[in-house]
Amino acid sequence: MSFAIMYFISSAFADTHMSFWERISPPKDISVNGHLIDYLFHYTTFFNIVFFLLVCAGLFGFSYLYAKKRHPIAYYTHGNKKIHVIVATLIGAFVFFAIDLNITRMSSNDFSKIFANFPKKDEDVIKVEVLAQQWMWTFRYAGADQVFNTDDDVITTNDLRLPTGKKVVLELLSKDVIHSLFLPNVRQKVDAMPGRISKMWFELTTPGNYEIACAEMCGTHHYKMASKFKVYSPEDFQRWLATANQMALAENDLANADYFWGWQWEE
Amino acid sequence: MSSVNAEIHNDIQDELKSSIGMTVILVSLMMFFGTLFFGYAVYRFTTETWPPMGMQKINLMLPSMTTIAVSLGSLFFEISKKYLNKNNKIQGKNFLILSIVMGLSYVFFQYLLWRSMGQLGLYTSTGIFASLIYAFTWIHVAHMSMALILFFWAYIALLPREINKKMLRSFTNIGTFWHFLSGIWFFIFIFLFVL
Amino acid sequence: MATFEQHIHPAPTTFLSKYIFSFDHKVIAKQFLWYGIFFLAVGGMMALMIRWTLAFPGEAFPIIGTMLFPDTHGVIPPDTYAMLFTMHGTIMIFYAITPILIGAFGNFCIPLMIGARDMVFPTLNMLSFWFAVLSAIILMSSLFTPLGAAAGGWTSYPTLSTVIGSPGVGQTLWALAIFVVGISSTLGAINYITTIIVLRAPGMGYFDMPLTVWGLWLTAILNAIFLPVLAAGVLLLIFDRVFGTTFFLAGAAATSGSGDPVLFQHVFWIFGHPEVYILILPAWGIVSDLLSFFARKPAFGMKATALSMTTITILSTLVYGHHMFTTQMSPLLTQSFMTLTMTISIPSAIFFANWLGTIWKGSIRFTSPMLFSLGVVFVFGLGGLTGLYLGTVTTDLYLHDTYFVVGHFHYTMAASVLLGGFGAIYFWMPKMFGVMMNECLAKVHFWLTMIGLNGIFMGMMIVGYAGMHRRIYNPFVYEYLQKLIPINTFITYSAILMGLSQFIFLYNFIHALLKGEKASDNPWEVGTLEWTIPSPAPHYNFKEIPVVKCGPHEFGNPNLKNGRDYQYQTEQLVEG
Repeated sequence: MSFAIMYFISSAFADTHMSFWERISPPKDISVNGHLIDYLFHYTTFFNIVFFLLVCAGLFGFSYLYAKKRHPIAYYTHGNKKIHVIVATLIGAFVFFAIDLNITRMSSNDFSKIFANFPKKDEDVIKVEVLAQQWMWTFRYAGADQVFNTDDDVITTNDLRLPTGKKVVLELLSKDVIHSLFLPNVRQKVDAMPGRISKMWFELTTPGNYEIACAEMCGTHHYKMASKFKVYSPEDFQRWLATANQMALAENDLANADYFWGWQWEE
Repeated sequence: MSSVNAEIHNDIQDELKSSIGMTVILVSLMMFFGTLFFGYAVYRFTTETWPPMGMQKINLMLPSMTTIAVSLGSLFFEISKKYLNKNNKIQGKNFLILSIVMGLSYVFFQYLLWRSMGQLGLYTSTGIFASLIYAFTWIHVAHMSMALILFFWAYIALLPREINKKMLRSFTNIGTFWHFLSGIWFFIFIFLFVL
Repeated sequence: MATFEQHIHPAPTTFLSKYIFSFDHKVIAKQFLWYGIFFLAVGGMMALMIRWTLAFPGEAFPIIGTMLFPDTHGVIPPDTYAMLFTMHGTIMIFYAITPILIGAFGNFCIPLMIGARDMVFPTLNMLSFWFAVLSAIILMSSLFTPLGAAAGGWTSYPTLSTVIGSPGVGQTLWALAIFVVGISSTLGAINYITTIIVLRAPGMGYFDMPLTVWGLWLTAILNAIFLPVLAAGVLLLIFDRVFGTTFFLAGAAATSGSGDPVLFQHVFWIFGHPEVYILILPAWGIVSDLLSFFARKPAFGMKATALSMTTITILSTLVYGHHMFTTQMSPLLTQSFMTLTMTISIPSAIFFANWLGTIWKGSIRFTSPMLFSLGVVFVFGLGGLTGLYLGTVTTDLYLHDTYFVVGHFHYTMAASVLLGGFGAIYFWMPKMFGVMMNECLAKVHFWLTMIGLNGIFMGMMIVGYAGMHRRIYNPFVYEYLQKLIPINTFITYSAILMGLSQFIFLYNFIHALLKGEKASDNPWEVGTLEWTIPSPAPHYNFKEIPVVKCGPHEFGNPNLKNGRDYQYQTEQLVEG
């Protein structure tokens, strides 16, 4: 038994080059608004810990104080005196007003003002169409003519490349089953469904190489439905896109009907 | 407590049991059909034209016949119950047979409906319009068959018995089930065929 | 409530009518208990296989691995892994928790606690069990079909669960099994609701019923209302799979017209969210009672507890949308669901306060059922509070479909319900089988289970927050998840600990059945109606239908002069 516990603990801390906190913290936040989600998480955690400590204080404290050997005769009450009802109601109200309403308000604000507030039609954004299928991600950039589903579109497979410093809007669709585009570094995910376009927007801050995952169970190889996620500085992105555009014009196989899987951008 | 009193008490209890049990069953079935209609509403509101392009509405003839059969079944069963309440077994039996006939003709009309839909080129895989009609009618027929089996059971097992409160209660419950299904059919008729 | 005559039928004599096709609620309860424990073991074994794969990808499952997966030399292949977590979820919810908490304890406790001789509809009761058996047979047979069992997760979202995503017959059998188990539970629910309304002993008002009965009653109501919703959903799924209708097919795959795969999610969660409460309400009721019984103190604010449970029952029907935030419903709908979800915490906090109020100034006896109940307060506290992250839409954007969700719902649905169920087994064992279980072993079982499950589910929440998503065969194909290998190993060791500690329970249970110490009529010194009759409960329970004169939790009344610190419900409340 004790051996097992020892093994537990040692296994959790075996690699000493990484601290425990580092190990359990989420991946680096590389988006402009991701900190809102992190902040709300920590805010909720703070209140949760306070409240759970209260529960534990009651649970363990009462268990200690009112164990039979210390407190042989129970206090006879049905808990329906005025004071009891008031205390219970106050606790309920405290939880609701102090925690729930606060986080609901914050989350609601963040959601309606930022996460669900998509860039306006005339704003200059990077647009990418995402097609999910078992088990890969395909990304389509409009190319030089800014129109999707034309012969200069840049298409990448399992490789999303985006610049920092500019809003990005993704439109997603699935070819077969429901998938979910999960960008852990951006703290967001959205389902890709067949027959229904879903959208996501964000703005990036830090160039680097990251990962994208599929978060919705989509079949046997769901676990392998990963994609690279490369974030460039704006200049590097322009350079890459220009080259890719040239290559696309030269190499896109227009005779293949499957090539035109894109759709007209939905504003 | 005298035995008469006890009998009355048992009767109240049986009445209560059967009415509460029946209510719960009907609530469950209502939720079941409610979900189906909810699904129908979603499809209906998210489709721009109804019936979808390239399809036409089903001729109202057969569904109307079905509606009539179902309603008459309800009516005859009620009449049969009324006669039984008045201790008139012969008329009760006659009307029970009539409602069974109505039930059978309901099934027959549905069969004709499926055949006519096939002739129109509407198969299960033709799209949501046909899928809805097939699924709703299948499910309804399945439930009506249960009700029909109960009718047969009433004919074979209940009728030969002496008429008493308990037997009449069974009759009432079977009738309630049928009326409920008639009501559902009415909604199906309106939503899937008329509108 | 008038006195109703309840006939005493002669006890059945043949083996078949006594043990197999029995109408007796106590026998049916035991049947459900065996059935549930069997599937708990099956589901638990599957959980261990899942955990093994996550901690040691590519290594053979020890001992039975080579026997089960000979093609891969004992390593669990990815498609089997998908079947395992699908079946684990389905089995645990519909074939383990439901039968134990609702089937076994619902059947056993309701008539005994309300002073009835049997359920109102004994035939329905028997049918309910045999439908459950039929359903289990259908489900288990799907494991032996060519392409294996369902593998789309217990939620079986289309279009993965239609022929596009899972061509095998296993998924159809899964849907059929759920449909049949739905019939079984609905039959049970009809029975429970009617029995509680009609057969309460004379003098027993609704607030004189023990909270266990309240919990079971509300569960039955939710079952009767929402199981048909799921039934309709899976029926349409079956039509799609078998007859080629196009309800849930869409996009490139549908030949013409367009179905709506998201509709299934709506239907599923309209049922699915209440289902969470269906599972937890009986446990809440049992825990509320046990806390009072062993704190030797009346349940604190019993009416408020009962009404809070009722409020939660009603609210639970309005909040299902928080399972679908990532499907992009309209923002208005999203925000409404979020706000409604948050209101659930008011009644929850009130009954939490009442639970703590019950043990406040009590005289607590730390018997095994009490330990398990206190454990439920602890784990449900954790589970409930972590729900806040998932109810708020922005944090859910990150946490949805990660292991954080898995940890959260295991805390609420698995940990609490399991502990509540064990508490109930230890508590009612004397009345069910007439024997006591070994207290010492029970306490060891409690502590090991408690350590194990907190290790597992806390670990799951941690890896979830670190970004590990659900239902993946090998998380370590992702670079950013590789740092989580040690924590995953830790979770797996916790799971093995928890799994092994159940053998203590099994030994204790079987040992008690075979040569356990005979139980007295009222070993726990509790005043509810089932403890006024001999142990084990005799055929047709009550010789005389009891007349109820006081509430179920009359403990520590200072005016009691007869040397007891509790009153039977059949006794007039002693007043000063």
